[in-house]
Amino acid sequence: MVRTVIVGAIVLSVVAFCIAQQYIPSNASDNTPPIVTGWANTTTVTVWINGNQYPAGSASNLAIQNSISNAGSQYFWNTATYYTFNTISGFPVNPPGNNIVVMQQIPGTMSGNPDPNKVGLTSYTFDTSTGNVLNAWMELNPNIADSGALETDTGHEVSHLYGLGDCWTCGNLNNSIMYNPLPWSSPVSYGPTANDVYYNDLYRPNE
Amino acid sequence: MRSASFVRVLLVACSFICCAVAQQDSAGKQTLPKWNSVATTQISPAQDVAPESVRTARSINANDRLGVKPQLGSSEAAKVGFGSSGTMGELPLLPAGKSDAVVAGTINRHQAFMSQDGTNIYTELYVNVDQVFKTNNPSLQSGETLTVLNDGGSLVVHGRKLHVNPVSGDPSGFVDLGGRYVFFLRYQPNIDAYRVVKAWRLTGNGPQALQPSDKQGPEAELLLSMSESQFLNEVQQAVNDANQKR
Repeated sequence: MVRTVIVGAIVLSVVAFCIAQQYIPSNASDNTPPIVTGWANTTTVTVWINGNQYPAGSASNLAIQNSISNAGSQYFWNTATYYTFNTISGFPVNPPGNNIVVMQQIPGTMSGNPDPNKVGLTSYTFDTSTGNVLNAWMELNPNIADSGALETDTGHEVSHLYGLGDCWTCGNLNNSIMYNPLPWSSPVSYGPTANDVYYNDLYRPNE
Repeated sequence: MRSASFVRVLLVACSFICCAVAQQDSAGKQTLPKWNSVATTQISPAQDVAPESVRTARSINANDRLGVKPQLGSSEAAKVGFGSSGTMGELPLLPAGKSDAVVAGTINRHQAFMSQDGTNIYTELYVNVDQVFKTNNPSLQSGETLTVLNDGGSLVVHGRKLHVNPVSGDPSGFVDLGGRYVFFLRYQPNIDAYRVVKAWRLTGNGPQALQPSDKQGPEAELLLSMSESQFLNEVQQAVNDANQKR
């Protein structure tokens, strides 16, 4: 009987320890990445492109427009978002309404990755009650030398605004725009694929 | 007697189930590192390992460049969230040529700091260096403590916990507390700090890749099959090769 109690106590302590391990992030309200659901349905999004982007001026601007339009139209959850594109010189930092501001500069927030292929950083504000994106700022590395890469990366970054994560569970799906942005020499495939959507952790871009 | 045996079996089964659940940890999923969720309390300048001028430069560097983020803890911050995601470029498996310093060491402590404008948090990881393969700084030697900067973190300010997630898709992957790694580091002179370009985890049984792209392909598989000493030799060789190309 005594042995049973001792064994039971040991096992219960192991159980308690395991449960404690499971629930270490008990302050989930602080640490759980917020749910972001992308732009609200039927939103009109204004895209502000800061001047003529490299490497080929207006051609690059077209590449940005292609990738944003494709990223928006290929999602399966029937978000009807409409884009208008504007080229500006200088950019409004915090314009009213729903905007994507595309800027040409070196992303400064990410770790000091010196690779010129580090091409983009997207930041966004969202309504914490609805999860809808309010405004977004896309920073592009000025060292990009390929408009195809510009499209791929822009598609990747815009996809974050629709709630796709980086698809780290995609395994070897090398064609995933979220998992593994294509190298310069690959055929351009912009906009997320069905695989991206299927394998991704929807709505949790920061996890 | 039979009921006692039954209780034992039941308890053992429960413990196995709980352990299995606890260990799940979303295999393969990019989870937030402990340094990002374990809050530290604000420290005074006297407790700071960095000189005041360096601290100021780092805190200004962490400011909101876009001018759109509400101050952390403000009523506005409760209504408007802010997220960021980056796209990584492809790096060599062992990017010695793109690193200012390459070291092996263990992360033994962390401290979070607020940006000067109160909109952001950055975290310093303190690495106990046990091997130096490459350095741009002669004072960086084995046995020294190296500071590595990360974006995001958790900080207790006046009893209130504030939190900022790291950038999703950070190319460095996430190094974490208590882990021993080979760090490929880039020096950022304007803030006198190192940031991680890439890191490989050392477990004693060999290297572990932090980035999914470093787990695929014959070269990656070769590295991952190595013992720790073989891997460290490979790192040294990559540094030597990079030095010869300069």
